[in-house]
Amino acid sequence: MQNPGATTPIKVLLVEDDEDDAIITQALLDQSSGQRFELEWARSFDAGLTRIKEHNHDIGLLDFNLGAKTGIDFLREAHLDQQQTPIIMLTGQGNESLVIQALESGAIDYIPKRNISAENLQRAIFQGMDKIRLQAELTAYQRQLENTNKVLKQRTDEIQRFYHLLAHELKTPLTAASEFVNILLEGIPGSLNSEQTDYLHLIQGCCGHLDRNINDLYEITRLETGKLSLTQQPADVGPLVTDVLNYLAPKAQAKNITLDTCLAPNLPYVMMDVQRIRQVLLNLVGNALKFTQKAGTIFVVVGEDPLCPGRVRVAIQDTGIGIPQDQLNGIFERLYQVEQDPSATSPGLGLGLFICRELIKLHEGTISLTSTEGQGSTFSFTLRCAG
Amino acid sequence: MNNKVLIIEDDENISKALEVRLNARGYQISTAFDAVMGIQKALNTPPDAILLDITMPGGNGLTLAERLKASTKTQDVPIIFLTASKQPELRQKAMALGGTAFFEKPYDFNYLLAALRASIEHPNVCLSL
Repeated sequence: MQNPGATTPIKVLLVEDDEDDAIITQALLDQSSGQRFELEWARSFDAGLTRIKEHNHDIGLLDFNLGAKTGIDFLREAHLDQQQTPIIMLTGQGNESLVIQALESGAIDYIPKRNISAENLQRAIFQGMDKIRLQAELTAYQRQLENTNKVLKQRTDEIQRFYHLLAHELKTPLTAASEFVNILLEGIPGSLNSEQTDYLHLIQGCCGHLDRNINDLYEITRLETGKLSLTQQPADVGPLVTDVLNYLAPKAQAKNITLDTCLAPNLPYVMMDVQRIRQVLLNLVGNALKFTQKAGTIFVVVGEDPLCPGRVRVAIQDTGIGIPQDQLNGIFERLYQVEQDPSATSPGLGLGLFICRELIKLHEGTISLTSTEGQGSTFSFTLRCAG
Repeated sequence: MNNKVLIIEDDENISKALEVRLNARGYQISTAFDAVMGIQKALNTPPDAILLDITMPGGNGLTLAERLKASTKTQDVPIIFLTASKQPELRQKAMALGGTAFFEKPYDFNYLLAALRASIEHPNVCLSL
């Protein structure tokens, strides 16, 4: 609120056609201690309108009856020009319905003349000026926020474009490299010995690893810029699990790992984006394969969640190396790396499980982990049933 | 008779790799490295199928596909799209333009080969891959 001790005078425009009322108002303002007021008196509707549009006043005091016109007419005409001076309506009418009309027409306050005193007039002036100042500050903050949002959106689009370009520029040479390895493996230019074949398979594996990393980087950008949206529809998660396990079967066979499923009968349909849940399953079962030693077992169990009705739970259990208890909490965080023997398998970028969690969150599901070091881990996620 | 496949791909390495692998399977290959060369070759000697990259200099593959589908000479030639771009809307646009299949790079060659065979045998069938 305006400081009553301030020495700068407050410029007041009084629009009033009654001389007696004008003199009384001047007298009321003169009684104010600590704050000086400079009152300019406009004696008619038109004179007041001309002066208010000049924006030279801190506040306007407006009589209701102004000859053939009213203060409401004044407010409407003044606000057509979006004038910024706050206006307080003064009236002797005593009609409460005028309050609403005056406020709707742009007055910031209303004082019945019969109740007017030096104190409440001064208070109304200070409050009115504060209100306008706060409104101006709010508008400035809103503009600032709008500009910040605009800049952020531009930046987000730039990042997105950069990652599109990056993915394109990385995938093109990767495709060529991978294809020429396949040409050599097919023996098109000539036959290979077993050592050459082994080395080419190693390069092929590296190409696959690079491709997954590029995809993860791209996905993370889409998730973090809010560009990733789902196309959810009712679907059966059981066949999808079987399909993913069939796809990964050659990798499991290469490590002599048993892949098995237990699908509950009559599973209800769930709401899912099939490609995205496939991505989650490939990641989780792929991780299980990576961290399970030869001759181990991976078991995928799908059934209605007994603890959470209306949801289907998919659990991927492995007999792998497990994760230390003190590291379970951070496992789904972005860029998290489980501390492990440096000579062990490459830890990856630390994005895969974060992407899984975000995708499951987008499905309004949950993802969790239980693990015992040296015995194995169980990753499980839930999806809500359709209908 | 060997089926004729036109590869329109600006990356010469990928083009060469596709040519080598398809040649080895008995396909007769011609190549173009930009959109203009691609449309010229397609109109001069309409192939049995086209492998078409989407991001290329001199006009993108989607525009080129529109031109090919507008010509009586090439309107029935099946087009299989390839792209290294990960923009999700590309697949939808490509298939809406009459593509028979769509592959992201790096593609699985065996799937690509299966799509190529199926496209030549049934040019009007859309393959959901």
